[in-house]
Amino acid sequence: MLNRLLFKRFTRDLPGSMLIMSMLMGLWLLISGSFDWQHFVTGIFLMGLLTLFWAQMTVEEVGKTRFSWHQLKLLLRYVAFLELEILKANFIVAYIVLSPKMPISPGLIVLQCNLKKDLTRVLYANSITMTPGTITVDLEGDRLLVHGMTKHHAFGVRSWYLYDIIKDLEESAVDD
Amino acid sequence: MLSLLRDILVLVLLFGGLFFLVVGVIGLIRLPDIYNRLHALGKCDTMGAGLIVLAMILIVPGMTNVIKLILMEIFILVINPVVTHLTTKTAYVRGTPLVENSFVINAYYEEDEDEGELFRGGDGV
Repeated sequence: MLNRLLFKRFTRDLPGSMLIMSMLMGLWLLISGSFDWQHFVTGIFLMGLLTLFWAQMTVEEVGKTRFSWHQLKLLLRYVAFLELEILKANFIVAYIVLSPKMPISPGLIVLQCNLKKDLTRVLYANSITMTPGTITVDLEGDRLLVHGMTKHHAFGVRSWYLYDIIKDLEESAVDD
Repeated sequence: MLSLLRDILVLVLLFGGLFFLVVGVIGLIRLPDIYNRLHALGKCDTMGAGLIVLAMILIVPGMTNVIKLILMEIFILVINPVVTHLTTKTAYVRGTPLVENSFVINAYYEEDEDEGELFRGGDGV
């Protein structure tokens, strides 16, 4: 009974399951570091078992979108700028912490955030946490609660260029 | 010659990581309330641990170890902001008070209005 249920989940999205399985297989071969047939057999057995048992945990977006190079380009641009911002954030925090007077004026700010998809929302909230002087406290509906270390940084979130990129990224998605 | 250069790079990265971890701890002690302390911890720990793992990637022998370290780097980068956010949210839900002279601003509706457009300014909206 349980067996059949699991197998049904596995076969419902067969290409996806196969893709996950081959990705896990690649990871297994890279980590084990040896390419003889024993490792292949063990790997195929274990990865098949893993994919079968965790089949219900696969990401299931309701509206799947088509792959496009434009989106990939936007995403890479986003990640590059994000790395830059993380670097900047660390130097700003180091400056604030190490300066004798500690120039902080902390507080909370409520903002609007019109992102719809779960993945982009998570990405955006995490990047706010990683970037200069701001932490996401809460994101519920389109209400974004941000704690800022200084007033300047807290207001900086409102006109942030990464938000425009991520908004582009979400809007350029074509429904499949 | 090349290995000397690599060693120097590794040393720089290690000490950079150490610097940011120390900054994180100093921030934990110096800053006034839990939210500000999390600013220091959430960012500087990610950077410090990330730099140290990067230094290890450069110096560790063997491909398998390098791949494990790269995975570690990715996990640090993903998990650290999530945990920071969860701690902040828990503190906020439990009603932990902000430090004195904190501001609380509601800028929720302004994005729809004309002032919001003005504030965004030269971005090329």
